[in-house]
Amino acid sequence: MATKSKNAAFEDLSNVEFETSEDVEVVDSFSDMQLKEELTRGIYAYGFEKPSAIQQRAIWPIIKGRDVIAQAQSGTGKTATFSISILQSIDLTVRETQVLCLSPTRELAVQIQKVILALGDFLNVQCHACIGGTNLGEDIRKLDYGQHVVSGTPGRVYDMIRRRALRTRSVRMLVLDEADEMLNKGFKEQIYDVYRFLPPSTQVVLISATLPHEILEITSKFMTDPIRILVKRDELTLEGIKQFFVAVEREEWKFDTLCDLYDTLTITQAVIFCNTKRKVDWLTEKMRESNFTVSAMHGDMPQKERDNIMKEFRSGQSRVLITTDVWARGIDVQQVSLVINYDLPNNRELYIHRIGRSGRFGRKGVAINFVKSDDIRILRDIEQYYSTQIDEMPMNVADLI
Amino acid sequence: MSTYEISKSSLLSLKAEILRKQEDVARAKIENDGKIRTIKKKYTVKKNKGIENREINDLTEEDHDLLRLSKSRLEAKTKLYDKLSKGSSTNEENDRLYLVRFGAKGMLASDQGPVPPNDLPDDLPPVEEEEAYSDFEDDNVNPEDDWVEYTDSLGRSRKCLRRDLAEFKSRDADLREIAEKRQQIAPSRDKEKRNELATASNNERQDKEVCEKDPIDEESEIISGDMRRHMLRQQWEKEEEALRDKSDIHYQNVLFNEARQHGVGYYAFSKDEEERAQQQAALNKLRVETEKEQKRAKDLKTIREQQLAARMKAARNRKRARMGLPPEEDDVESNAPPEEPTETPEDIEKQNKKAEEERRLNAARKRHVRPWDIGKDGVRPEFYEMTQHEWNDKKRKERPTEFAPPTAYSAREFNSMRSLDTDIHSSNKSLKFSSMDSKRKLQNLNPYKKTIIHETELEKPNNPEESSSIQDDDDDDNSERNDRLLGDYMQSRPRLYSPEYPTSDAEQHSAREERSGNSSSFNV
Repeated sequence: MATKSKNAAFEDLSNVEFETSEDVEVVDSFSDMQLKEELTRGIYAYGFEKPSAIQQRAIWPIIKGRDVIAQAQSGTGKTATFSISILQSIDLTVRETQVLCLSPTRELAVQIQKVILALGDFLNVQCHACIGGTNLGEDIRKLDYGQHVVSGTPGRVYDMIRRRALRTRSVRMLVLDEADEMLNKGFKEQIYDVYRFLPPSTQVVLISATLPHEILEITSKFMTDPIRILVKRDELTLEGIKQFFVAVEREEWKFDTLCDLYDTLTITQAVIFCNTKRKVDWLTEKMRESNFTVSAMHGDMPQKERDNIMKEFRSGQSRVLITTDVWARGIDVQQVSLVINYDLPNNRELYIHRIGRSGRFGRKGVAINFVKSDDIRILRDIEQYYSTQIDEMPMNVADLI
Repeated sequence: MSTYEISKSSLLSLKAEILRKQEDVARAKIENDGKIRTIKKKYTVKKNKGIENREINDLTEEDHDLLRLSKSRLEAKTKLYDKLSKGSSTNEENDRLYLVRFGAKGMLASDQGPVPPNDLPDDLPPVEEEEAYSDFEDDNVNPEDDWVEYTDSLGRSRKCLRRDLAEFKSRDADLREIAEKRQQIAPSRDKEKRNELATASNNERQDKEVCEKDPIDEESEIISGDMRRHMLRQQWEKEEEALRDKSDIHYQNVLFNEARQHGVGYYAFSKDEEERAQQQAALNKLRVETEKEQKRAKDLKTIREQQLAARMKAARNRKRARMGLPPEEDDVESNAPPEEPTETPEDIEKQNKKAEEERRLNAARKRHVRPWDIGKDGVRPEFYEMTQHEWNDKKRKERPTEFAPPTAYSAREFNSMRSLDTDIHSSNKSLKFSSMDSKRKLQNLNPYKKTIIHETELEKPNNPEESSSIQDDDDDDNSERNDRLLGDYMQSRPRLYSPEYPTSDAEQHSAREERSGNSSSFNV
């Protein structure tokens, strides 16, 4: 009897529809947000002029100290949203870690560090990227200098906390970027481990473009009456990103299609997604054999090499990047206008994140999916789920980039 | 310093666009050649007066710009060239980087020194001149005998005087050696040297005024893409090396040549800490000055407005005096700012209510204990004060059934059971999200039953400081214990709050089963 009622309770909650909180205020200019003057200058210097929808809604409650769950379409300034809030809330005279920001990949953690440093350039904020694959001693030394904000990946951050190199006594805010990934099976325990070291009732901010129901359900375990800013899934794809598919009969034909598209790829910058690291290696090798210039990145490469490839791609030295889902979430390179799904992603959320690598902050983008005949069903499912449109690729696709 | 950058990729795309348009135009032209021409003939353009003059002016201006541009380019090139030929310390590196042996050139030039080129010493003829002069210098000797052809290491066939053959051969060997060296760049050994070169040239340029551009951009005409990439990597390595011992890191330190468009207000501060501080101070000073100026302008404007108003008033008064009327009274009311619309008592009440609600919610938030916080230092499980009804209900549950009132009695007759639901939900703004129907919440209302029992367990060392001393090996243990604790806690919590932690139900259940073996006596 008891179990029955419990099950009933469980089911009950999964039927609850999570909606955007009622009392979300909209502040439609940065100057109305009562930010520090240096911060406002940093915001304008970084290139923001008017806050995006998510920035208008989420910055204010975070600054006020509320727990916030914020969802917004890819490339609409989520990272800047919490970065601005972080910079507004920290006390720069105290050189101790006041905000901890966790993200699923090292590249993303480094990128967040960069954004925080950029927006806080006039504030002279100190932000450290605490990521795996780097020198431990160096990490410890950097933390010893004192950092206002630490942006890192859960494993290394936990390690640093246990070594007492990262002191959590002054931490006031925990930010989980790509929150749905961070609270997924693989990461949840690590997040829990880190959370256990934070002072009780630390402000928690969750940010992601996709927030599935089961993730929202568990947020009550470490958040207090959060403000929710959510996006319905049929509004999650961006108008600016045109989605197409190329139907191929056999897997081998994908490669030929890619070669045909190469000229289009290099108009600006392009990212090609494969589902496995081995396939990335294979495709890279094959492209190079055919005298196409490409670079490749995946999680099995040494961190040094990953860093260099990221820098080359960010500086525009390389134009075509073949990679895995390590690149799917959050990475922001302005010039990327084309994403190719050489393989279809393994879940619907990843599709949104992958195509979101193009069309950054209002720019145009194109996503091309290579589908074998049996993949079309999956693509149609994605299309329907997000109420979007994925057409057959037209001949003039280059004009759309 | 360059705050306005156009990325290469956008330039490229622009170029592509232009090419495409040009093609379109060409095609269109071919297709309707006749038409266009006829239209052109009919159409005569009428120009405004003086426009031709202006066009001429514009043109010359442009020409000037072009001239200046090419001049500056040439100057920059000269500087680079000078630097390369002077920089004797980096000769070896230069040899490997460029096909021209700037070092050798420099040496030759300095050897010749002030000697004018037309009376060259015969014993040390510079190579370049050799070939040029040879024709007329050695006129009297049979030229056919002295000229020989040979193939150099790059596969070119070259001609030279027989007596110079040996020297040319040795030079060729040197060249081949250099080429080979360059091809198999041993990264470990060459890296640092190359770095030195990159930064050295970097520094030098900063000293000179050529520093406006990236060193790599500037030399891009001479070096290949691969080489540029290699140099960039080394430059980044060097930059990172420098960051390693820096306590303060700023945006410019981690930018690493990223092609990112910034806002117009972007200011690329120096990577040098002192210079950065100076730049910031200068900016702040400018800012203060601007603000001062703005304030002054504003003050001036208000003063002018006041004066204008006063004059107007005086004028009106004169007019009135002419008409025999008394001067205008100072109508203070009209000058005073329009009063804010008075708030109705309702509004005030509403606001107060809202503030009150907010305060209440804030207090509730503060009281709230998150499941993941339980067991941390200074965190007690949320204390729940039962209402009388809940207490009664709890007691009733404990009561043996045979002492209960007969079932024939309807619940309505008992006061204590009437307003149960409304009490619990007196606050319509719940901290939790739940669509559970309220009746279910009334089951298992005893929050103390198990809390007391497990209090000791909750006291166990579980605060962050202590567990941090536990090293890797028993780490798993630790988290497991935490989970168990959580489960215990969930079990001990009043059923009333259970919908708040939905997913824990499964854990809770399993936890209960798990411990039912050893502590079945507590399991009511």
